[in-house]
Amino acid sequence: MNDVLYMAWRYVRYHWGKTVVLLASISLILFLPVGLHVVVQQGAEMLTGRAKSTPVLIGPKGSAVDLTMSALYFRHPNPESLPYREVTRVTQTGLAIGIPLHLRYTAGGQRIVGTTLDYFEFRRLNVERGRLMAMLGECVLGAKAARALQADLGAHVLSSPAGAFDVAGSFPLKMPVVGVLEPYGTADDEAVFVDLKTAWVIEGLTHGHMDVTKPEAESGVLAREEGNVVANASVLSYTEITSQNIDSFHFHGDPDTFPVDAVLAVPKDRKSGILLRGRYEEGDTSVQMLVPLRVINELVETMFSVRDYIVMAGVGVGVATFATAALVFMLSIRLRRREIETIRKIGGTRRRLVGILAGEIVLVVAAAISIAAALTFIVSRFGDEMVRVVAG
Amino acid sequence: MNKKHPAVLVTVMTLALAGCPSEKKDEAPKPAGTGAGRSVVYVSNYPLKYFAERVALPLVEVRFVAGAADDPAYWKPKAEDVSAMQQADLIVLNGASYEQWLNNVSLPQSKLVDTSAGFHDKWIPLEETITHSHGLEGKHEHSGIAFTTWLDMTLAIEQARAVKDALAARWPEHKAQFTNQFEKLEKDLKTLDEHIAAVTSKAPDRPVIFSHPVYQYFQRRYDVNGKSVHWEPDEMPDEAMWSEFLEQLKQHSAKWMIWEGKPLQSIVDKLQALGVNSAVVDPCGNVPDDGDFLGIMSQNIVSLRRVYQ
Repeated sequence: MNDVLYMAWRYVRYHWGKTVVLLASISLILFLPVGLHVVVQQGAEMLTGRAKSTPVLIGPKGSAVDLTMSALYFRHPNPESLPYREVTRVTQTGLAIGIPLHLRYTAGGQRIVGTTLDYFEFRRLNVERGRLMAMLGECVLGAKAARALQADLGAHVLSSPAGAFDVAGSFPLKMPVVGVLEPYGTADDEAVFVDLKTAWVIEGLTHGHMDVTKPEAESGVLAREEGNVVANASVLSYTEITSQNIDSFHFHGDPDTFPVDAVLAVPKDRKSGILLRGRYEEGDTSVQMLVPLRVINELVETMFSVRDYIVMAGVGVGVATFATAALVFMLSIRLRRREIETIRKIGGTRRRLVGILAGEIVLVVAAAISIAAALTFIVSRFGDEMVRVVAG
Repeated sequence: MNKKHPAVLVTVMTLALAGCPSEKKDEAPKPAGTGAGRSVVYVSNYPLKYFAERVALPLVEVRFVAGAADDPAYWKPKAEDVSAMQQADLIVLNGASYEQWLNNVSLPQSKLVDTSAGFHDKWIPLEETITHSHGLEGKHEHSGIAFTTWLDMTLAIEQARAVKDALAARWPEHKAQFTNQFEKLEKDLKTLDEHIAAVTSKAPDRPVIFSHPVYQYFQRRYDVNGKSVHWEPDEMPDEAMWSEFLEQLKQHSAKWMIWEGKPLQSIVDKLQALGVNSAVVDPCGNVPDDGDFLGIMSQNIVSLRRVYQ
């Protein structure tokens, strides 16, 4: 048996060019449907896992998919937002706790998530180092965000403007890092968490400056009228919140009208969740309430449909590939007529000849299966890193 | 569901790849609970501490860290204080803009109990409002709400009830005990309310001067004919303040000034020379040196009897 395999091995090795082409085509045709299945399955599990743990989501009217993606995975939110009073409204029903999400800004490419401490309780997030934010202006980093920003406890993170032309609307806020979360393998790892009020500071809705009613601010005051002080632009807003200036920070307007991008509603129990959904379905039309799992399930179904089409196409290509491979083998037997004749003349039986040719096929197919399995493993294990490298 | 755009599918596929957990895949997330140990409730002023203790002891530990400040309304918490409060089971607030520090800290909203939210429509806006404008922004105002709500005993009862309701919602197994203890407190506060009303109703038109603008709810509930200045009991007013006071006396001929705390003897003497007597009605925002909330309010009634005799 060993001599048969040895002869087959020597053949595939000698004709390495043909072997490589066969290996590449067979392994790819095996890998594509299997790898795709693994990736889609993992992705579906991940997507539904996070959606399952998010019972109800409230957001502005618009695309349910966009709202779900931004609230669950911190993708860029819709331009429309909700007033903060929607958060209070949820909580005041007594049926659920409303957790706001403000997602408009980034820091070094990492999404700044403005929320309340209830979010950490809800997602069961613990700090690995440091503590949760306690004072206005502080931030807590997800595990991957800390690596990406190369920031740890005591470092500072600078918020980015909302867009290239947002030179006056919001200003960069320098935020001290007070905690780094444990890694969870979710979107939380990549976020920069701040208190919702800090997000409003970044947006310019809350700010701090010198007290213009005091004599020290006289140089920045244009006019003092009855009950009103008009100051010039030299009264600058603070770009870092410190213990010295924190008391000067104040809201511009009614916080109930300030924006949030989504509200996670955490019902007390299943019945409360149903009652809450009923209230929104019957009443307000300016907001939408959705169950993320339903949205994600529809997306996953679409993903599975796409996968099935690709697999079907792959099967067709596979059949063609195997037919081509069979043809290559058959043609090679014709081309090797003299070689086969020589083996027969020196005493090789028909059985041995068939063994050698079959051995060549088995070696190539076995190697192709191994390569396909290795590729599948790599994709399942390092898929996210690969995407990151490809995406730059 | 809306029509799915191809870009969304690409995003989903990318997420599907990018989201494949590569770290701690098999480990369940650890809970971020408040930790084991005794149930803890934080309060933001002394009346709430008194109410919470009357309703919840000995089942719950009541902590009052803002008491370290002279006036808890102007307490400036440190990060360590806030981190400790984050671990509490409940954080009981006075509301009505009392906790100015609340805007500067991060606390779990689900644990906050605003005891005056239930009578939002009864809040008293402060008359003094400063507006300012600068840069490209429009005019905006810094207004406030009077916050010494508990000096109206009917509102104090509502606040105590809010404390009881929050405790009962958090620990429903002890609801009966909380309710029982609250009913005793409610009775005491009602008695105080009746006594104060009985005293002030003897001469409802009698003018008085308040040394500090903290008696708005007291004034409204007990129909007190009062005007306020902005003096400190331990600080002699300057000449401008005395002049302003004399002007006010011409319009509002009060024979009594009601103080938050015992004033300097020199101030008492100078007022006496002007025919104005001094009486202390302690709002009791912080822990008293002697006695408790009921004791201080009873002393206040004694002072008021002198004013309204």
